[in-house]
Amino acid sequence: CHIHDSFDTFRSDERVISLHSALDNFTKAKDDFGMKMTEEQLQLLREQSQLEQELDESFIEKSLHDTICSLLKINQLKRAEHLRKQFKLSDKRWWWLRITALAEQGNFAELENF
Amino acid sequence: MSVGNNSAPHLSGSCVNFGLIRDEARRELVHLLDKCHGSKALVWDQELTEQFGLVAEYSLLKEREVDRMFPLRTPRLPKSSVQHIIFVTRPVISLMDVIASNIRKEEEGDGFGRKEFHIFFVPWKSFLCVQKLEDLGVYGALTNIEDYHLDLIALDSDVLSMENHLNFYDNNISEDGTSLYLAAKAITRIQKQYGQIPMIYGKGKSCKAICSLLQKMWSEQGDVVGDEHPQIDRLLIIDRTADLITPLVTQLTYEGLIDEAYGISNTSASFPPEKFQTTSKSEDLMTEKKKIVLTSKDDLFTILRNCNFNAVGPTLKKQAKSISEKYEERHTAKTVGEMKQFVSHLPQMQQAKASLAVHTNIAELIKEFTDEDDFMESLSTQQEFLNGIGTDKVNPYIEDCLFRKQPIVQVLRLICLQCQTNNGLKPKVLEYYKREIVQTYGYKHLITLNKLEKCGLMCGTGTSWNYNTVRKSLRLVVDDINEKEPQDIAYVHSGYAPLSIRLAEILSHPGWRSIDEVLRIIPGPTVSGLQQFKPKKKWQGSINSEGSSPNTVTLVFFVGGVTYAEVSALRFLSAKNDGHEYLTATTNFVNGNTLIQSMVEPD
Repeated sequence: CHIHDSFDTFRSDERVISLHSALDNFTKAKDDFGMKMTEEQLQLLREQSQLEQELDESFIEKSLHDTICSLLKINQLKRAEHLRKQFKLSDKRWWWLRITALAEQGNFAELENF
Repeated sequence: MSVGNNSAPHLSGSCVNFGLIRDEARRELVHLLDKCHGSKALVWDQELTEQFGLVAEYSLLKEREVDRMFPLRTPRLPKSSVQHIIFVTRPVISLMDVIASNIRKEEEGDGFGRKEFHIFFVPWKSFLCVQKLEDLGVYGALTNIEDYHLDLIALDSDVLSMENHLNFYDNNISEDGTSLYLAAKAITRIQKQYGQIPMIYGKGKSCKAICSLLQKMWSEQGDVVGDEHPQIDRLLIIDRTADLITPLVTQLTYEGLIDEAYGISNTSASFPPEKFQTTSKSEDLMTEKKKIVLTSKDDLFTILRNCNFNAVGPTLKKQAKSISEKYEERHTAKTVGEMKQFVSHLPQMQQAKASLAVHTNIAELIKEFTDEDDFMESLSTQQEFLNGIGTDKVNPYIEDCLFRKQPIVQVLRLICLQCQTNNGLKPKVLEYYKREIVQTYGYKHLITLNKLEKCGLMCGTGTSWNYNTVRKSLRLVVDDINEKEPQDIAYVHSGYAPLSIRLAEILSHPGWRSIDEVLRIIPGPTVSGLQQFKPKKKWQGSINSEGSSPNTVTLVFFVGGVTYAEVSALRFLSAKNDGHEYLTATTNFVNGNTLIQSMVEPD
């Protein structure tokens, strides 16, 4: 089926193009979930490349979870908050991420504030 | 030269002698090797080396002038002076490139004169591979291209396996029929060896297809020996898709837990070496993993493997006590005769002692594994699902795992179990999980999710499957389970009876007719009693030369994999001694992790 074809190629350098064709195929197949996920992935890629320009860190290939996690670890709380809003992160996940990141940093003063 | 079965007596301990399967595989191998006169080097596809170890030991190969063995890899073979180079490989296209480059490098020549090249395909040569060799321009350089039909390996006295690890994937994701054809061939091989099996039963997707293949293969054979006493009375084919729950539940038998924690492959498992340091040589660090063979060759393991893990401790203790008692006997030995008898038992006792030490160590490792918080929490979540509690909403523990980014296989295993016990998840819940998975582990796992849905492990509502009905009418959940002296097969999962094995149990007594309704709910077609021929009545009590037993012998063939706990449950049924014995044959062994891992997109 169409969907699998476009999956196979999305690894290549032309990932944005492949993602768009995946999006087309999901639309044809009336797979709402696949469409939504693909749209989010495109959005994530845009955010990531912007972050890479602004910060000296690599984000490509990272999932949303990992992206926010690395942002928190380098104390980019604002940017992380931005992603949280953009992708409508559940509160539970957000606080888990915050706490894990703080614990890994050994920032116990901040943890106490919860 | 004999290719007899002397080296593997542990294979012949059951009501049907599976050693014969091994003998035949050895004969075929020797026959193939003898086609090349002179010294040989075998070049192994690494996936096959362990399997071969179960069929032929090195000394047998050496007798057939096999001087060297190399692993198959690029860029070239080590230097050797043999006359024949034999590649032993699976029919996998990518390996053909490796073989071709090896041959070319070899033909460029070194000082050792001309060599002949051969390929043995296991279990059969594929047209595509031969084509590929032609395309690569090395086809002409090959003297022999042979099939080596190693399609069935006797792992133990009551277990045959095809060791075809891709079976479930091929069947349900790639929809490649080859694996079914190979399965039917394997069953035909069993029938050739032990007589045509009179009755066939089956449940699940592929059973009908296999049945028709079987009948075709049998009739094509021509000179059929139908009037012999068949040693196996019934064949029960169970397709894994008919029972997806069982592999998802954690196995709680000793052998099953070893498999969950360390993975058993080709009858052996590798453990971290620290536990097995011998005190005398503690200086040099063992860095390699300790590999231990786990078969019925080991008397103690034969008892332990089927025990619920809670019964392993007491059993080890009892064993320790009996060994030390036997040692004490030396004080009571007074006469020379008694002393002699004691001494003659010594080697046996020492072996028992060594095996006790090994299993105490393994049990300690497993204990550590089961004491971990995540193991306990996952287990209690599973129990809730199996009891039908809280299956219809997002589970807080699964959520936790997602947010902590636990290994994806672990998370998916629980979600799949929830799907199965809730007859599919409500769209809202399913979509929530799926979204969280993509957000946590990355977009590429959209493919993983797709595959899981394709094979039915993950699904939305609207299936005809109804877990609660099946659970109640087949008594899948048993409350008061005695783990130390089990009364029911449910002991293998501490309270959950594997659906597949319950089907086998009911088939023997009182028969499938009593559960018609339930069989309709379980996915896939049913084959209920296909008579291949009418056997002559068995001579009760007179044991003929082939040693067929007065019991009804059922061979359960699992398409798509079996778990170690399921095999233990079948052994438990055989040991009940109620006139029914069971043997296991399978395409491969699985557990929830390996099953799901095969669907997960690699990083």
